Amino acid sequence: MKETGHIPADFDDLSKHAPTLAGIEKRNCFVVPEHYFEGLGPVIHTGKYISSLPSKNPFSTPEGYFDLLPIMIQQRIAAEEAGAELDVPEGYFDELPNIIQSRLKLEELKGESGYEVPGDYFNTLAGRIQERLKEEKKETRVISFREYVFSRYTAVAIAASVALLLGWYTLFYKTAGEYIQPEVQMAGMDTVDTNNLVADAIAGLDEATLIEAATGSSEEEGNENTDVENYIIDNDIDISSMVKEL
Amino acid sequence: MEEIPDKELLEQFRNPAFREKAFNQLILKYQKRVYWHIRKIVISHDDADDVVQNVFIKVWKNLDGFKEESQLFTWLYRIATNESLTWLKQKKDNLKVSFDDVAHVLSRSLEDDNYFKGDEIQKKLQQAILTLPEKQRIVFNMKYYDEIKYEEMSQILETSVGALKASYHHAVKKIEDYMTRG
Repeated sequence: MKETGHIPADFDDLSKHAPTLAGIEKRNCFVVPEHYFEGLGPVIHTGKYISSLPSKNPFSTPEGYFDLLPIMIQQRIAAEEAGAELDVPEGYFDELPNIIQSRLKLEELKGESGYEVPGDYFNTLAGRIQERLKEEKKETRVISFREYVFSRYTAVAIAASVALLLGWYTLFYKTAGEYIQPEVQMAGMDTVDTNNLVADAIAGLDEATLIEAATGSSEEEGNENTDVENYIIDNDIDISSMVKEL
Repeated sequence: MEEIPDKELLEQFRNPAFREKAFNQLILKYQKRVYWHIRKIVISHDDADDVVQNVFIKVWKNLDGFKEESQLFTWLYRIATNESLTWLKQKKDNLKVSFDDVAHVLSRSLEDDNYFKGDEIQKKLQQAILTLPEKQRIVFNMKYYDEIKYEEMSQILETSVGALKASYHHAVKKIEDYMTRG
């Protein structure tokens, strides 16, 4: 508005200063379609100013626009005020993408695991373990040391005796067989004290051999025997005197 | 429905119990005048809709500070004018174009506007108005179409009555030239 040159006193007289413009029907091109105003009815009284606007306005608005306008403005205000009042911790939005990514990875890991357990597996696990422990305590039986050693080493003693007897017989037969009559041989055998043979045979074996023979008998019994074997080794027990006691 | 006087509206607005209701009444009372004032500046209905909403949001935020030194209507018009000019400036900045190009863009939107129902002469008149500088265009529209008194206009635009009269006179002459160019 810098153009402040001379203005004629009758500058408002369009017919004189702008006859073409004056010849154009003076109407506001920005009018509301007639049906729009009908829709508003008497609810909105727009006063003298609006009623003075030309009725044929070539502009129009979408139907119902002014019905919705107050609501839209209220919503915008509510949204803006909500945004202004709410606050987040400092750096929240900087960290948010990382937090979401971590959560997503955790969710993926959960989803990708091929291992599953029954629904209440972990809820009942502790109880089931306790029951198992009680049952195992009931099943534990005490075996006497005498019973254990007798059952374990009898077979070993017999096997060793047979081996010793065969070795003695072969040696004797090869070296003196030609001079001893079969009857004498058999008679000689009859005079052998088997108790002494077994004790001697076992005494000739070392403890390690005996333990090896015992542990090699079966896998199931292996664990049960371990404590006994350790006991024998730790206490330096003489197997032959133990067998004599039996 | 009786139009609630501005003084009563403002009293209700300052009472928290009636604040929202009063504001709703204020929108109903002034939405059309504000809308049409904006529409003549930004031309497109969609753009006018955005600006109208911005205006009333600004009113909501600042109405407590309105000291009633001028009429509410004048105050609303001032906000609407400033918001419209701000919108035009943003459009200019966004398009990175000069004023003439903005006028061209507005003229194009006038042709594409489904809500413009004027005939060829009316369209030409609008295009002539769009060739005016922004504030001159506002003065012309307010005087020619809205018949707002220079004194009121002076309060709204915060410009002297003499400057407004000169602005209107020059606007009329430019439009006349445009219309007679064939």
